[in-house]
Amino acid sequence: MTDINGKSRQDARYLAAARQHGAMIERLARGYEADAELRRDLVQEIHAALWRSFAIFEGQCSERSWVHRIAHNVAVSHILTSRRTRRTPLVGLDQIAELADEDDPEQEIGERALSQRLLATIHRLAPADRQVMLLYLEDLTAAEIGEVTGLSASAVAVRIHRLKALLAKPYRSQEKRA
Amino acid sequence: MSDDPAKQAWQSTVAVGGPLPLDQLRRNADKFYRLIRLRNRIEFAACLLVVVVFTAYAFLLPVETVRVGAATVVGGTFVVAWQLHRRASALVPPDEALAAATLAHQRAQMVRQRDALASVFYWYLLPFMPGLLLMIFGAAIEQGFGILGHLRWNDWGAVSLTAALFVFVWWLNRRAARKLQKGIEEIDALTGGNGS
Repeated sequence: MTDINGKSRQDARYLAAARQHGAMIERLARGYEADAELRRDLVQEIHAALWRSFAIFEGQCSERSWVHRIAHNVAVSHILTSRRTRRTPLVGLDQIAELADEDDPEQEIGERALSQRLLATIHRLAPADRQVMLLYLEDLTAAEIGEVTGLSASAVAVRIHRLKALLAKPYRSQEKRA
Repeated sequence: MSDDPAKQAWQSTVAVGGPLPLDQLRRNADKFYRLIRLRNRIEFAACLLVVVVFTAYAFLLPVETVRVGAATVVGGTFVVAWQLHRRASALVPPDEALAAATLAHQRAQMVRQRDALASVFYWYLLPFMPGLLLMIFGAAIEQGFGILGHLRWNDWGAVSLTAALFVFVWWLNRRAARKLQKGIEEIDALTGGNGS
């Protein structure tokens, strides 16, 4: 009876978390996997891990941090076990001067264009910086980013500072052109 | 939603998403384990093939030392199969590991892969070497090493190719292990050594 209750509690927790964070999981998968078919697999893997994880979730951290941790860990394993070769090496935030694909000066700074450039930039980043950027874009606080990644508060602060400068650049360029 | 335009742009890329059917999740829960099991079966089938072929050699080849060499290859194959089983099992992370801070999880994965790759000589190559050496030089051991001078160029070619293949596999794995070690050191630098 306890087991049945445990299972139904696990199911209920998963369903609630997946409803709340489902869109984030889809976006996170886009940040890790460019191939549409493999991305579908990754989303399924994340959901399966999330469902399993609610059997052992006892409030070790906030539910939001828990879901992000599970999702990023599955995605990082996905990258590490992927045997495909990468054409360009992954880099850190400190090695990126501008958002990717900013070679068209007439390009409109619309939401869609910006999201494409964000995605292209995310795909160039090494895992630790990629995690910080994705978590920042999901509106997690610096403390939550530290809780999810294990980065020190100062390391998170440095990366957020670089990110803010990077993300503000297109708007500064637009202002200059105007 | 945040008033930061970059966050808005990112969060608007996918605005909907929800749970997968629970039946599907239960069915797929052990997908990873099934993949590992499939990979193991393929590797064990390859080992079985080696065992069958070299057992036949151990009975059919004319030179006794070469037959002993073939039997030793069979023994080495069992060692490799056991090691594959042991190490592949270790590749399956417990659910608790998935709840660790992401960099700690990543580091643990990289350490596991690095250790397997760095020691590939001992558990994947070395077990085959005594048997193969006996098979290659068995005739020379029985008939005197002077026979080596009478080996044809294609015999030496086969010896060189086998040696080159072993060195190449070892070098490739060491290189991958060094790359992983660099990644581990980067994580340690990021977390101040608390990533373990």
